[in-house]
Amino acid sequence: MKSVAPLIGWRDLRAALSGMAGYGMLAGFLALTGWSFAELLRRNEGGFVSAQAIWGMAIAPWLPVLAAAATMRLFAEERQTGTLETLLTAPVRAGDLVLGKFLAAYSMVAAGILLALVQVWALRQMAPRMDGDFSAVGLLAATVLLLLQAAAWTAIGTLASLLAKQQAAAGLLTVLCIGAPYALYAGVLAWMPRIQHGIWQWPMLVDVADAATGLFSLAPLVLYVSVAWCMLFIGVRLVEARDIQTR
Amino acid sequence: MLEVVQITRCFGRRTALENVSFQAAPGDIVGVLGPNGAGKSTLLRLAACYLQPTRGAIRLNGMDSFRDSLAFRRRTGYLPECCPLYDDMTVGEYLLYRARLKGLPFLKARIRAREMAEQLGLGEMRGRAIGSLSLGCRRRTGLADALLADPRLLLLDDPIANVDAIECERISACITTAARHATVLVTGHALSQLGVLCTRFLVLRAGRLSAAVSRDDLLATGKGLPLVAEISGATEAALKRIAALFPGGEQAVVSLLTDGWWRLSWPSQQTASIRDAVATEVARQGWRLRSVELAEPQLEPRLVDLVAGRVVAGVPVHTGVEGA
Repeated sequence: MKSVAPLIGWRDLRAALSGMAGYGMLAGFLALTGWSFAELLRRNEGGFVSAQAIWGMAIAPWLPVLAAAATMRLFAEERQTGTLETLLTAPVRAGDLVLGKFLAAYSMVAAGILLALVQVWALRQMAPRMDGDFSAVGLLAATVLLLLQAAAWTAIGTLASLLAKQQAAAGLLTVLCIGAPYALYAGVLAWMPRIQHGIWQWPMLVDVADAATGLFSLAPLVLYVSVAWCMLFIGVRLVEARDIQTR
Repeated sequence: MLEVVQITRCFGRRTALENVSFQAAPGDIVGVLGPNGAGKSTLLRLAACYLQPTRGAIRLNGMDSFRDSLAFRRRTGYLPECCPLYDDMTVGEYLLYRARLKGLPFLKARIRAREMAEQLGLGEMRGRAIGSLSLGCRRRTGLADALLADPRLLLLDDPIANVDAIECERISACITTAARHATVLVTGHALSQLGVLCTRFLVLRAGRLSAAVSRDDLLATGKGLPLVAEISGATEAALKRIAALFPGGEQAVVSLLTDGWWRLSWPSQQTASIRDAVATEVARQGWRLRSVELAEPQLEPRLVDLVAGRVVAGVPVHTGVEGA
């Protein structure tokens, strides 16, 4: 039987973009990342950090928020409106359902990352002398790593949407699930002498900065792909066991 | 053939459905009745594979709703109680989307979606957003969705609630058509409409099957069709004497109407021929006859009695298992 995941994904993407919410979400993301990019550039003026690494690090902290916003409506809204009942009683495999929903949200998040490349283009227009500071390969590597991170965060958000009854709760759960390990990491750092490195030591930023400066490693790739796969797998099992609507 | 075998569903400590068993064949339109909270919607949700049973099994032509869930759902059409639809889509887009979701290839899905829209009188509304539809049109859209893949089991949760008489008639006609090759389970509280639509009734009370009876059996129970005649020029004693000449007439009730006419009625089994016999006898006595009628069989009061848990003569009180 042909997979209906793209069909489900198309419907969800269409629903997200049928109102102002989807566009507002992307506009908000671009505004926040633009502000972060400008702020980081100003703070690192004359420093050794490359411009593409700064761009990547400006995007990365906002990705969980965008993923939460894009995923919170996936299942939670269907549950609220009752359409989850017709969706789950249709002859659709649990894998297709979860994957379709994931693809819809991931398309939005990926669109946000790609649209944020406009900031690089804008900077180059405004400061032509910075041309030498930009490496196309570095920018591409940072984008790929951000897309990998986005896949992991979107998968976490998809699972949160499956578990939560309300959209707001799903969004909050996503941010907490992604933020909690980093907060824990920051807490551990606070007790260590390397405190001076502060936020720059956060893995989600370090990974992007490393990729943007040519330090390629398989570790982040394995980490983000594994997280995405695990979250989607749990989601599929929950749908198969029909454990999601009786809560 | 639908087989529900000792099905039980618990939500935490609460048992919504307990040891319910029955069978239904293609062509059956089974009305699942009961007061609010009796477990009607839970039964349909279990049969639609939306919920998993805590115990027991549901099989359709030998396919298990849990082990062969995908194949089972492919042969099932389901209309939930609140008729949830995507308000941002048009009727045509929604039916096409659902047809493709049910595995129909694109071209076939388009044809089928158009056919179902026409069949349910939604042809001119295919371009309208679902969010702007009336409740009746939403119900018909939901029903069209349930019928898209030509299901062998049709599950309809209160499909005629809060719709006007014309919508109700249209929906009932579609259900009757679908039942030619499918088993239909339909719930609801509109007992008069369900009495006309359904061929059998299951009554649930507090999650248990309390009665199961066919429409014909239910009609045949009780005291039969009452005969009512309005006569003048006679006396009460004379009317009772004449009534006693007919089968069951010894139970006749004679009452004086405000306009001076007598009403003679008795609730025994009657046939249409008795009307002529009564009219002939009244004419022979030289009395005047204003009307003589056989009252239509009333199913609704008996259904109300069943739903309310009152004993209906001729309908056995159920222990939980009902045969085909």
